[in-house]
Amino acid sequence: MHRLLIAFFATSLIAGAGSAMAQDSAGGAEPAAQPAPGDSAAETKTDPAAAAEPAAAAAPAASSCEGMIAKADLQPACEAALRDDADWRAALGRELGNRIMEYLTPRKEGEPERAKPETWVIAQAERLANRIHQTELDTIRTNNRHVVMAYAALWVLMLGFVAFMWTKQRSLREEIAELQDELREATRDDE
Amino acid sequence: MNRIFFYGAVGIGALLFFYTMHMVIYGTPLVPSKELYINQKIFYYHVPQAFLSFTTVIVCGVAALLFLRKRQARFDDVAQAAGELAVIFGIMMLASGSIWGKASWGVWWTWDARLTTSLLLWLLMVGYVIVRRYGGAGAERLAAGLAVFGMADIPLIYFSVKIWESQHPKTSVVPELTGTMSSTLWISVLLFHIVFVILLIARVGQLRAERHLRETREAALDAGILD
Repeated sequence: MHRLLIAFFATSLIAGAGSAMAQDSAGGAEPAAQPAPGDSAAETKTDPAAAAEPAAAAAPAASSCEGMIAKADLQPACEAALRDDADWRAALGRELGNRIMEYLTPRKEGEPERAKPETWVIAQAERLANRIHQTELDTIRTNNRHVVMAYAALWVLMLGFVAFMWTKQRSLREEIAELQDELREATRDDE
Repeated sequence: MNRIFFYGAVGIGALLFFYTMHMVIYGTPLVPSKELYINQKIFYYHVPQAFLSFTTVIVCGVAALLFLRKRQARFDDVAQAAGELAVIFGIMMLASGSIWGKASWGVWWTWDARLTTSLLLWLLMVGYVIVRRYGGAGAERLAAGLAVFGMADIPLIYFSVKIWESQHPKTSVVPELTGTMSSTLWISVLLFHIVFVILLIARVGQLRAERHLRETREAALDAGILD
């Protein structure tokens, strides 16, 4: 009995939170008319097995004040059940976690934004544009410096070796000219 | 014939240089990674320099082995020229790789397997050049041993990323390239090898001229023509 009440309470809470978030992001769309959680709780007392479906169907419960107050009445029962059954508490935690993560997936996260008017989207883009451009510009400037450094190292070293060969060639020419002069002197002396 | 080959290589190298620069800047895509982005362009010079380092060391080692076997000076000239070029291209490889590492990993250097073995190879070739320069008589044979040892380091460098856990990108990156990235890389490899051939021919010519000059002076001294 307690488990069913808590299951209904948990699913109501999730659905209520979900619809509240959806309404905020959609900019005030009308909430769907749903029965209060208290009404569905009465049905679950008679038929526990079948109660899961009606409970789930009624779960997208109201974000209205009446719905929240009704949930508050169930809170002591929920807390008692959570204390009594550790396994069920763990399972509920996992279920809630999965439902929350399912909501926060990018696809679902984007849907409320896509429902917003285009002027809101444009305003967000303009607000972020300067920051995005500045970040990208800084990244590109740093990257450019690295590439220039790498290419500069390459060409400086290669040109340095060419300069080394140039000076070596010049000293060779001088040595050849010197040897030719010495040979000429020597042969003239012989003559 | 040699002159035609030499100037032909210079012309082809110049054309490939401008083509490669154009392709690297405009023709190849940017990598959609915040760390790499434009820095990825260093890849088109760093990898060819690595290939060329291996080529120069292999040429040096093979020429040194031929010199040890046949004792012909022309092989020694090629070995010495290739050894000097191995030092130059080794520095280029280490410098460009270090800049890439700063951009990609956030550090200029790490004692990674590939980086350490590459530095070891470069130090061996620096030792080769120093021994040739200051080793005196018989230095060419001692240096030839260093060149052969350096040649043996090349497989270790190439397979280091497979043998040990390494930050360096794997060797499978190059075969997996497609489109303009692959063509630009291989044209850049060709360009650097043409540059190597040009510089090797020029330096071998200089070393040969130095040797002839030295031999001529010694012959003249022996003949008593010179004092």
